[in-house]
Amino acid sequence: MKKRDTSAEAVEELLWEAEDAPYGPTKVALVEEAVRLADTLKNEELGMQARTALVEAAIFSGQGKKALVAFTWCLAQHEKNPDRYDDFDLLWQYKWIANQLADFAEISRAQIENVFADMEQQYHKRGVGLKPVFKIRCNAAMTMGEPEQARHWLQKWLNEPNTWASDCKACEVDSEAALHLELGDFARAQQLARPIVETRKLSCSEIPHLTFARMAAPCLAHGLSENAAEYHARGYSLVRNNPEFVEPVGQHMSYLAAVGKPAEGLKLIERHLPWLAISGSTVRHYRFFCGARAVLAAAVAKGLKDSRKLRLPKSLPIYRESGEYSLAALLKWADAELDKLVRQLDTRNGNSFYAAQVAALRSSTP
Amino acid sequence: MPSHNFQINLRGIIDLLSNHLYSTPHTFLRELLQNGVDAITARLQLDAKHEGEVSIELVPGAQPTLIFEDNGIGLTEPEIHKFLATIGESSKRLANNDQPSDFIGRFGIGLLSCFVVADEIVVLTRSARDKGKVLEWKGRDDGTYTIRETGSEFAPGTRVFLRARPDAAEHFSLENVRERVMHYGGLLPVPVHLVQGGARKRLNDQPAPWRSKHASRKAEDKAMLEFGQAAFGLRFHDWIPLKSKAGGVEGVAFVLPHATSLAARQQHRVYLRNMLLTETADNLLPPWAFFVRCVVNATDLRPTASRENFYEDKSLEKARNELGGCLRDYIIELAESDKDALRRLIGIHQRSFKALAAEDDDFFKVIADLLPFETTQGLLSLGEIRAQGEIRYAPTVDQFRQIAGVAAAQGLCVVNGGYVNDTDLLERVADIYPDVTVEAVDASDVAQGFEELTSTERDKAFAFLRAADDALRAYGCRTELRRFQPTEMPALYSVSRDGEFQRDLERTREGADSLWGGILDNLSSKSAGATSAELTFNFSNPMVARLTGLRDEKRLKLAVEMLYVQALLLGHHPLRSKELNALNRGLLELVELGLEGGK
Repeated sequence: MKKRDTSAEAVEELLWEAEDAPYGPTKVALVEEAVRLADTLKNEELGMQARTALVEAAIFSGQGKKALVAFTWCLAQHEKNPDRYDDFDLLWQYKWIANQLADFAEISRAQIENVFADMEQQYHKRGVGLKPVFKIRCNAAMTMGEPEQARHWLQKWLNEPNTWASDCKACEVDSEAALHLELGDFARAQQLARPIVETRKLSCSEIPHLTFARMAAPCLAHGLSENAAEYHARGYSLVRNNPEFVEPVGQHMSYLAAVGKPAEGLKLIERHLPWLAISGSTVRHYRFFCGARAVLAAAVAKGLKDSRKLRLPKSLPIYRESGEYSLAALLKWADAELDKLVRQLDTRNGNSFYAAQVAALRSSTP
Repeated sequence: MPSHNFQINLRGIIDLLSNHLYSTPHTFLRELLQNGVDAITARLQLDAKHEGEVSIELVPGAQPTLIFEDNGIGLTEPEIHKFLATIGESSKRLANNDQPSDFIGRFGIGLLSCFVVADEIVVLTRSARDKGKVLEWKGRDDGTYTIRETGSEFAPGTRVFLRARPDAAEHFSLENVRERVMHYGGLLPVPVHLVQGGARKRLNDQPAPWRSKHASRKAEDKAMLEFGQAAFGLRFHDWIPLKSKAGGVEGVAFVLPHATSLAARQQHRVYLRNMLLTETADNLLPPWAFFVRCVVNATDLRPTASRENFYEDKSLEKARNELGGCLRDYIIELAESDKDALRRLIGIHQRSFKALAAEDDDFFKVIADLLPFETTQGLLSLGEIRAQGEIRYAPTVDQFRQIAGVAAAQGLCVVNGGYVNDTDLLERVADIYPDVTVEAVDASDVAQGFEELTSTERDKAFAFLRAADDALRAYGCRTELRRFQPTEMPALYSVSRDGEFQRDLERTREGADSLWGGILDNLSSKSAGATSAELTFNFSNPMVARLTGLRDEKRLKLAVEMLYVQALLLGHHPLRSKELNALNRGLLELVELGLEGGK
């Protein structure tokens, strides 16, 4: 067995290796190892370099909490030695961190607001325009169930000029389309998403992955079944191998339920349920369970055989050694999980946005 | 006829072409060939029996001249004006990655590339449509041009005269022109002749090997592999035919004789309607297909403006899927027909095959048992691992390293799941073989399997265990006492991934301000009572065995803390500040003890 090299070069080597790996737990583990090694060497600059890599790897592999911890460390280093490190990563990665805060129900509204204020200050201090902050505020308002606030920030976001710190065009357009869909304007969302899903003029590392998933079920609901089928087929293959995409997988499940293919949906549940242990994001889990619930409800309604062999993670309270599960029991469990997530989100948000959403979901499905 | 002006900044367009769009100056030969072939294609639509032909004549000299002639459709005067108009619009279009799609428009753009090597371009042309006037167009790179009728006898077609600029003479040498024409047009079905000093020779007399009839399978193998060697300078052993209806793609993939990495860029040689488009196309095959290099011709894919890659659109995506399917089917067929050949390929290209298996359930099913994995018992195939009944794997390289020695010493087979795709594939083994259990293990699972102490031994060690628990409670670590191999190892530290995250979080918390510290507190696992860290002492280790007989509580505490910190350091867990304090305090106490002993 090779003994581990514990030099600074070993940290660099781990980071190189990680850079080659696609996003996912493997990549994150490699960078985490680099971080720990840099720390045992007490090398702050390496620690910074490795953590900057960890923020990125963790964000794009769906491990937001790890990114948040690493970013917190980087931020403290910046405060301690303001001149030693470049501002670029700080401002750029701040967007990723801030944009996911509202997804965790553990984080309070006051904390989120304070982070946004801090972010504004960090941008302001360096003379960089606030477009990214407004966009994040808009997303957060929507996530916290405040459509009016979201509209307000949407206007500010769109009116603000671009800077080097703005997101890429694909992300900007995708986010705007996502927001309109949340606000119930399918036509506008579809029009905005056209250059992404139809003419394919716009793409980046997460686009069209997110867009396909988000548009599939709504297209079906609006009678565009051919587009929906295409978005599902193309989109699912883009997201099926990275646990970052818990939410898109949930949306693909919603599509499969709506199009009457619950058996295929069950496969997705089986395959992706283990991702939840990695993700830890309340909102993403919520969307996953919306899809899972729809699949299970559709399976029961369609009269599929109730007893089914599934490989579910051991860590689940409903885990059964035999692997035999009752679909009706699973539906009950998924509903209970959904209720729990809704409670956590609505309590933090101080409204009943998610309760209403789930009620609508349940009344529209069997 | 008067002298016209282009009314455009021609110099700007030439710069755009030469500096941004074309990577080498000799692309003018590609453009001339393309224009000639397009003209012949257009003429064939008029007269299907027409026998197209291209000839290139070189007149040597200080400023050599190249005369490029085709017997294609030729141009009428309105068409000449049309291509000039297209040039006028082209700077904007080129910047937008937009190619003129019609023949006339493309003709103009192609012609412009000649200004990279010549100051003046003369075109003689006679249209096959009106069989009328012979026209001469003379354009200069300052943006002026003339059009006039000439009286010369001329069969329909086009002749382009270029006189090399002094600094571009090398591009007009016989060797260079021959090499470049073969490079770009070697697969063209239209004969291309090279003429100099009365000697006339056909250049492209070998058709693409996938279009030829071969006497036998063996002859075909030989022809293909020789073609591959000529194309890439590598001695290949395996080739795979490629065909896709979408995009009209046909060609051959050569399996690289050496291993490649995921990050290595794909580089394929690609022809578009038999003209070389690029040798560095990287988007034609699915990303997992980095174990081959291929030569293909496409009839119906759209090139980017630089003509050095394909434009990402739906037909490219479809073609990519179909071509990926060819590779996949070939491998699947090998699993049936020639397992040894497949083993050899997997030996070289396991990363590529694993990447495909991760994407494709059916493919995984077929080759699963042959895929190799690193284990505590060496490199084993999944089939061999599976034969042991249960599959245990460590999810990260770090976790594997931490338990590999101990697991191997207990005779346990643990797979290293820390490499790209490995965990994902292992987790899916049960989809194929439902009776196989697959389990992620960490150090604590391995420790669970260690031999228990007898009750008398446990009784004797009771004081030690209580002291150990008391000492490590402050660090959130439980203790256990077992017997295990290797005996030199006094203790094994194990922590779950959640526990490890919690450690990282706490260390970060130590330096964070109140805002971020507060957020970290909220994210910190609330059930800190259920500690996931555990230190398992090894009763088979002579020093630990002696420690269990020690009754001095202070020394016991010191020993336990030091073994704990040592185990952390051995496992490369950075210390939290209280652990660092324990280390510093403990070292001083040990020095004190040493001094006392010396008294």
